[in-house]
Amino acid sequence: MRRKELNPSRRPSRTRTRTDGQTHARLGARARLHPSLLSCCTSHSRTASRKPSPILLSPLAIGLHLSSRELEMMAITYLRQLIKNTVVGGTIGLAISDRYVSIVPVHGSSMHPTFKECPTTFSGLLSGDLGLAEKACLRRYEFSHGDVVVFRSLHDHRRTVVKRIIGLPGDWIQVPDKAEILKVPEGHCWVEGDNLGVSLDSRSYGPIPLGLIRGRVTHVIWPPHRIRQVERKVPEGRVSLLD
Amino acid sequence: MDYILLLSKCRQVIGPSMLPTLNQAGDILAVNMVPKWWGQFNTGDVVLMRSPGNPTLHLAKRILGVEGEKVTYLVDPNNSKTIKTVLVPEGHVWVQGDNIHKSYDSRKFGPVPRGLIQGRIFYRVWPPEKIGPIDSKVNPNEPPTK
Repeated sequence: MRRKELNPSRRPSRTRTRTDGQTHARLGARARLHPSLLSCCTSHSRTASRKPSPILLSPLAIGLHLSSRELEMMAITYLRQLIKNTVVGGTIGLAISDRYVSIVPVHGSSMHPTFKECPTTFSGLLSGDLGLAEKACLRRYEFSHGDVVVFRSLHDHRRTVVKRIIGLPGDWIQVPDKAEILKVPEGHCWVEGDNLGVSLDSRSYGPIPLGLIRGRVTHVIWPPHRIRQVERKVPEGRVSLLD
Repeated sequence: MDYILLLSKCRQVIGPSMLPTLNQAGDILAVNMVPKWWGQFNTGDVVLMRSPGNPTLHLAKRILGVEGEKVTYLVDPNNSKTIKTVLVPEGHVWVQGDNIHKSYDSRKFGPVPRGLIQGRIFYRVWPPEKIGPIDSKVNPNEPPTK
């Protein structure tokens, strides 16, 4: 029923254009209009060459026999636009990565089940996972147990390290392999890798200052087949929360 | 308080720990953030850093030793003259306030990782009668060079 209703509504419009008998007249009008349309187009392209995307129009301009002076002007405006866009885009990008989210490469094998195991060479850097780090948590430095964080290395400020927070200020930590219970000092946290066998973490260099943390890794975003959320998990029986 | 550029920012620092270099009431200072990523900090630089005990708090201190250097300091200048010498570990710096009698610094929390340092304080923007560059000098109590 619906089809039958719909079809007739379309058909008249088609048949009208075909059977009107005015098709010839219209074509003629279009043909007559054509040169004026073209001139309209070209003049438009000339004015538009000073607007956003002259690169797309430049082959057209060459085809239209523009003078070298006009081409030079177009090149200058294009370059100016490109520089402007780069500067604006770069500034916005930096501001976003500084304040909101950034992408962190995870290499090495210390976070193995969560992030892929790969060598710490340059090729490993390329084949490693990319994580998405959110920075909203840095406003007040509020973290939970089990958060995966990215922080500046204690020994080399240019390197960033990804580890999991095990203990927060005021917690008592049982250090594995040592019969030692340690209190995490104020403003510090205890971090460990998921792959305890190879990870170099707070077990060797002690608690790290919270001020070194650069973000909380929430998702794996690359490679595509591994895209997922990073879960919070805390080893049981090692941390006693002091409230 | 705000970003002027991404490479530098102004910040107000309040407290007695950097007397006489910085006022107690709160000077507004220009911070050069370039050495945070490139270059390095030298002994004698006045720097802005995050407090190791409270990451939301910023401190202004003077670097008295960079990695690999030995620093000798008075443990408790108010009561005794005990002297202690430490070796600054790799990737860390030793910071102290110019007013050693009233300063929360490396003598309390030990050497700080370079990652906590935000930038070098190089210029005083406010108050207007004291506008000028802030020198980096090794001995904070020596008179300003003219």
